[in-house]
Order: sequence, then structure tokens, then C-alpha cells
Amino acid sequence: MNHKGFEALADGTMLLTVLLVASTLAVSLAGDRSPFLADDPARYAEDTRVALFRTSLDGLSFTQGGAEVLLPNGTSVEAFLRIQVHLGSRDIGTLDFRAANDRIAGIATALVRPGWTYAIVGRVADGAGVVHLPEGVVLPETYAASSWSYPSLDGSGPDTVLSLFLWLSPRR
Amino acid sequence: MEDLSVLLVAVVSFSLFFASLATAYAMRESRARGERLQAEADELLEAMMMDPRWTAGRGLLLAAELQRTTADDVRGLAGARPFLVVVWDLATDDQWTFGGEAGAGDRRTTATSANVLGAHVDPARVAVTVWEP
Repeated sequence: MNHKGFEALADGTMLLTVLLVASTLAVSLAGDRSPFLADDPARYAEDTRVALFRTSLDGLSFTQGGAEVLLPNGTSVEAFLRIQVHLGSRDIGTLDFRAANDRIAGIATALVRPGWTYAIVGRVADGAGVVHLPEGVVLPETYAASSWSYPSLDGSGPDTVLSLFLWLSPRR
Repeated sequence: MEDLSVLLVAVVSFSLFFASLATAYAMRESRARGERLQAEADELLEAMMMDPRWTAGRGLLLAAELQRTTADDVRGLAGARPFLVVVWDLATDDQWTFGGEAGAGDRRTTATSANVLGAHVDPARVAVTVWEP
């Protein structure tokens, strides 16, 4: 092969390289990126928190020191959780909210879309969680959250904070 | 002979390059169409959650008004696209369905949590599907 032949071969190889790189770039830039909208899970958590907390129930009750306390029909989930945090954060004897909490957990499970998992945490503003629904759920590293603060029921002490956490949890 | 080799390499290279460009363009257009459709589904869902004809505040849907609502009422919010809106009261299992004429093309679905106000404030789910015409 003469000098001109080598030059032509080098040009061809260079052209092939440049166009292969350009092709790879063109395809990768138009790749099928999943359209993740950062505010969607947050908005869904907000809608779900509002829908769950606004839900009203009949026959909610709890036991305090062995006596059953029956709440008025139509009590909202939000009001019940506020009472639970209020009483649970004070040392006022034995409390049992399990029966009502199971009903609330059932509603939340039905409300949340398939593939999502939730946790409800109620606490006083400067304290640890008093209410955990469902019991024993551990938050993953990434989740969407929606919270709201309420003044203490008796007007004294720190605020009550109720939070809903949501995360995608595909079936394995 | 050398010229023929270079010509062959050039033809193959340009063919690959233009094929990649065409693929990239098609993928981008497909993604953009999907995003537009998703945005329309989101807008219709938001309109369902806010419309004062059947809500008393965002996400608080009135059972009595849903009973009177027709697909034509919702079509005004959906524009020209085929749609299906389902409001599902999770406490009573009542469902209100509007639309439902499936289109031939691609579709997107979105859903969120809400309440239906009847005798009680019940938990509910609102799901919206829109199709390409």
C-alpha cells in the first residue's frame, strides 16, 4: 500500500470513530429516561394524609386504666390520633388504643395505592414518636412525607405533630 | 482499491449515524407524547378534585352531587381526549364512573386519595385514565 492508501485508510478509520461516537451520543441523549417528577410522591402523600385524617368513624374507643372510653360517632381519624398522642405523651396510667388503631390501619391500607407502603407517626413536637401505625414498620431510606402540627389539646405543652410516610414497595 | 475501502467505510458510518439520529428522534417524540398525555391525566385528576360542582373543598367529593354528575359534565374538563374517571368510596364500595370510551392509542393513568362526603366522611380513591384519540 502506498502513502496515499495509508492516508485514505486513516481518514476512513477516523470518520468511522467520529460517527460511531456521535451515534452513541445521539441515542443515549434521547434515551428512555423514566419521567420522575419529584413533587408527585409528595403530592400523593399530602392527598393521602388529608384523606385519611379527614375520614370519620363511628364507635371509636380506647381503654384507660381498664375503663373503656367511647368517643362520639363521626370522630375523625385526625382527632383520634391527636387524643392518642396527647394522652400517650403524659403519664396517666395504662392506655390501650389497639382496637381503634387496627381500624385506622385497615383504612390506610385500603386507601394507599397498590405497591405503596405507609407509616403513620404521631409525636409531640420535641419528643419521640408516641403513635406508630402499623406497629413495627421501619422507614426506608427514601420516602415521601406529609405532616401537620396542631396545638396541644389542653392548650399547654408542645404541639402535636402527625405525619404520614409513603414509599414504593413493590411485591417481591 | 483503497478508495473503495474508504467509500465502504463512509457509507457504513453514515448509515449508522443517520439510523441513530432517526432512532433518537423517534424515542424523543415518543417520550414527549407520553409526558403530554401524563400531564393531561394529572390536569383532569386535579380538576376532578377541585370542581365546585361536586366538591366542598379540594378532595372532598359530595356523594349526592356525584350521583347527579354525568360524563358530559366531566368531558368539559377532559377536552377532546377519551377518558375514564372512577371515584371509589372505599368504605361503602360505591363507585361513580364517568366516560370510558377507550381510545386506540397510548394511555396514561393517575390516581390519588380523596374523601366522599355522604352520611360520613369516607376514604376514597379517584383514578383518571386518558387515551390518545
